[in-house]
Amino acid sequence: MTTTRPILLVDDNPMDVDLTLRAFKQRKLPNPIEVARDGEEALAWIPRWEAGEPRPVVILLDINMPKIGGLEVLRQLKSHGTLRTIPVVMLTTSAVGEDVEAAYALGANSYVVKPVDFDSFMDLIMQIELYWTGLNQVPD
Amino acid sequence: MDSERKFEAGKSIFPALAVFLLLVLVAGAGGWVLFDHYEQQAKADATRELAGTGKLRASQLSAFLKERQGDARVASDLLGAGLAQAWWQGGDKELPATVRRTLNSMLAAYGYTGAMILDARGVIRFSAGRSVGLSATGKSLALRALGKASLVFSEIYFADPAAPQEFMLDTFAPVMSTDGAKAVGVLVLRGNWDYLFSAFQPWPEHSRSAEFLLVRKEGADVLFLNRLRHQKQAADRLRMPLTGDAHSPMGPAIRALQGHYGAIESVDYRGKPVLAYSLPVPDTDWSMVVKEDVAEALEGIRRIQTAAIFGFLVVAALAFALWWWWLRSRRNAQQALRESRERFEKAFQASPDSITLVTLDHGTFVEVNSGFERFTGYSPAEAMGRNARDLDLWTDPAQREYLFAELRAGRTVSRLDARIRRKDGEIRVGQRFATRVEIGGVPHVLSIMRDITDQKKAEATLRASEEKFSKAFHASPDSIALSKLKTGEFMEVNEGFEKISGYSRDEAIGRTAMELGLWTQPEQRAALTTRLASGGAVRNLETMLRRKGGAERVVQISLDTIDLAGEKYMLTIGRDVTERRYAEEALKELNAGLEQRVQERTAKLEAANKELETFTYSVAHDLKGPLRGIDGYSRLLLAGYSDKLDDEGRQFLRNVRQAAQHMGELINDLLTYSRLERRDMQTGKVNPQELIEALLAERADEIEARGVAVTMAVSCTSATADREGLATALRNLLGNALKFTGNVPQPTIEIGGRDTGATCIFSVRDNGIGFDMKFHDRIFDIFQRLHRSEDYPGTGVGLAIVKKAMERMGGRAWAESEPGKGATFYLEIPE
Repeated sequence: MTTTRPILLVDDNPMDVDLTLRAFKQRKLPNPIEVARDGEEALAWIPRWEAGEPRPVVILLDINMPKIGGLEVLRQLKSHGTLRTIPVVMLTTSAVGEDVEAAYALGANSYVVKPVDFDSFMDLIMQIELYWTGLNQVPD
Repeated sequence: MDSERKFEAGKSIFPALAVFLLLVLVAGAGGWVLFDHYEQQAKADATRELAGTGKLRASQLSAFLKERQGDARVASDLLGAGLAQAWWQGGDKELPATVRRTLNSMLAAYGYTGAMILDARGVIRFSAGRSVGLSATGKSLALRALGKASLVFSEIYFADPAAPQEFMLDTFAPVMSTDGAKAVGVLVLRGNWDYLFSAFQPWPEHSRSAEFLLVRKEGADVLFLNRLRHQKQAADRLRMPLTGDAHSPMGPAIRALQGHYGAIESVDYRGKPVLAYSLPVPDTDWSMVVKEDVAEALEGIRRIQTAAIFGFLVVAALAFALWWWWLRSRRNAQQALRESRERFEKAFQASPDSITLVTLDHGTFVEVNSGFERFTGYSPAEAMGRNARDLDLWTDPAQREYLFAELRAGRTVSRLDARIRRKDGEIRVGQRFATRVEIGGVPHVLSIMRDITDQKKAEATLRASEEKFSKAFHASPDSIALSKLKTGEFMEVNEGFEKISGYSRDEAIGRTAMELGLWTQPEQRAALTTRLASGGAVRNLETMLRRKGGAERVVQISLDTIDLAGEKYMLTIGRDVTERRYAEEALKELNAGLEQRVQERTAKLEAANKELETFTYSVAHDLKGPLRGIDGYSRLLLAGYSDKLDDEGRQFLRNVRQAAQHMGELINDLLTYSRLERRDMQTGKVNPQELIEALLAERADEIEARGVAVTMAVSCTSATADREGLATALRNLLGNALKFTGNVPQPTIEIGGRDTGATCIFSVRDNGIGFDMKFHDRIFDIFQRLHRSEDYPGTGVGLAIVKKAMERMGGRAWAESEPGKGATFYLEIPE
């Protein structure tokens, strides 16, 4: 890998985005973090990736978002001919079983519930980073 | 049966026989003595008669002889008056005419047959009459009369020995000299005295054997002088040796000739036993014997004796025959009795009824049959010698008193229904017949009892069912009509019929449904009748009925046949369903509308539910997001700016974080609770052991850190539950147990799972602070807390979740506790 591929964070809650970014920053993560503030913005990335921009090592995707929700974004990504190989980790407040089921049915690679407690949240981010940017191998 | 003896009287006949024989002997002996006495008397009588007759005859004979003597003396005297002497001396050739005349007239007058005058030398000098001449014997007798100068009689002899018919007797009278000093001649008078001896012959009274014997001793012989009754030629010819004694033949004659006169019982010349009386004939050397056969003398008595013996024999034979007949009849009677007893015995034992024989005085059981044992449960051995009171058989002892009183009064008791207590305590009804019988002179009671419990029950049931039927018939709001199947004629209708048809009972009875015009479709009726006649039944057939007045009603009818007293009847039950029909139609329309409304409402509800769900999601999302911000930034503030704050400021931030975290928990719990509410339970088999172990693993760090002693004893191997729901409930209980043992020195948690057969009861026991049972129901309500959150943090939703989860799975939750003594929470779930 010549260039460090980014992480795409899709979340509409600015505080959550901020806290997530802070958490990654504390971990001194080398990967750049792109942020999409809703589903629409997330889907806007697809033509860019198709055009040759580096694809993210992982997409952290919230579910409840204005306009286009996370599950719709997931559906489009996972039904995409080439982009469906990008790992998608659902990072959401919802722990509802139907959501979990629906996410996996659409091809989500993981499902993580955001804790309210910040310390737990930090732990979680750390483990995501460790796994998805360190251990996990993704196709080019 | 040991009472056999009682029924047979006097088995042995020998005493009776002995008595009978003794009587015979006594009668025989008495008779013999009596007859002997009478015999002696008869003999004495006969002898007396013989003696009398003998004496009479002897005196007659003696008189006859004296007459003959007289005749001879007169004649000889006539001669003697010197006549004979003169005659002889004068040498007259002819006897003087006077003498001759005298002799001839004497011959004629006295019946002499001849007369002879002999001279002193015995020469016949004169003879007159037809019988003259002398035999040698006659001559010697004449000489003896001459010699002795006394009258001599010849023996009685027959004139013609060849024809022994005429008894002759010669009298030899000496003709004395004129001076009377010597006999100068002998006058012989010869007479035929046949008449005399003939007169001897017949017995004065009729007799077959009585006779006189005139005997004389001649030399060593007995000479029978007269003609014998039984030996006609005996006179002067029968001579027998004079030997022997009284008991040898001719005993009487011998005894008489030996000089022993008087009565004698001996044997006569024929060798026959005779009674005899002998006496001397005076002035002769003759003896007279009068005799009669003993047989004849005793003839009367013998006849009586024979008659008596015959009579006795007849009586004895009769008695014997009677005895034999009695024996036989008694044997027959005994046989009959035995057979009858055997039959009785068989009937007694084989009878399905209870038969008992008890004494009348105390009711003591003497005999009971197997029916008794079946009825009462008491064996014969248990009953014998005891009475019904001892066995406590009668539930109403007064009935028993009544029974005995009736029997003592000589009445028979029949159909006495009594409730009898069995040995096992069961009460059964017995119908009793009792009568009094005498056995061996002791009054007994023969009692037959039949178990009519079932019959009574059946009767009661039948009565009840009849009553019920009758009540149902009349009380039924439905129309019920009973009609003859053949004619359709109504026999009985109820009030329901009157109401539905409009016809009164009086109008309907005796007429048919057709006549009343009840059927709107008469052909339907015919079809139904055919179906019923072939044994079918009709159920809930809807038809149109025309009421009195013409109004039509919808009626639902059921028909069936019943047999009453051999005739088939049709039972028709009808219900007016007209209103219901209309109501049903209205209801159908209503239902159609309702269904639509329900669908609309359901859709609305579903939409509302959806909305609520969405709302919950947004609550979760939208509330948790800001909370995470509050907490996150408070944390960051504490981490990066704590030196710019004083202690109080830092404490504020910590409180903010704590509140945010608590709110997070609250939201999580609420989400869990609401999810339980709307989520579909996915019931399946859950392995409790495994589940609990997983839950313990979740809290393993805390358990280890705090040193909580956790024990687990789960015998339940399977539970039917929604795994997540059960896990949620158990997780909450485990969390509570850990929480409320937080301030206890040696925290202990016991987890149990007991198998009740149909359910599994899980228990989580802790030794924590516990609670007062008065709060038991409250703690399961949402937001109900018993402690301050700074002591035991919590949302107040946990146990509400537990309760909800259990309810959704068809189980239940409850708790037992006491303040300070820990608490035990239970979950019950189907296996």
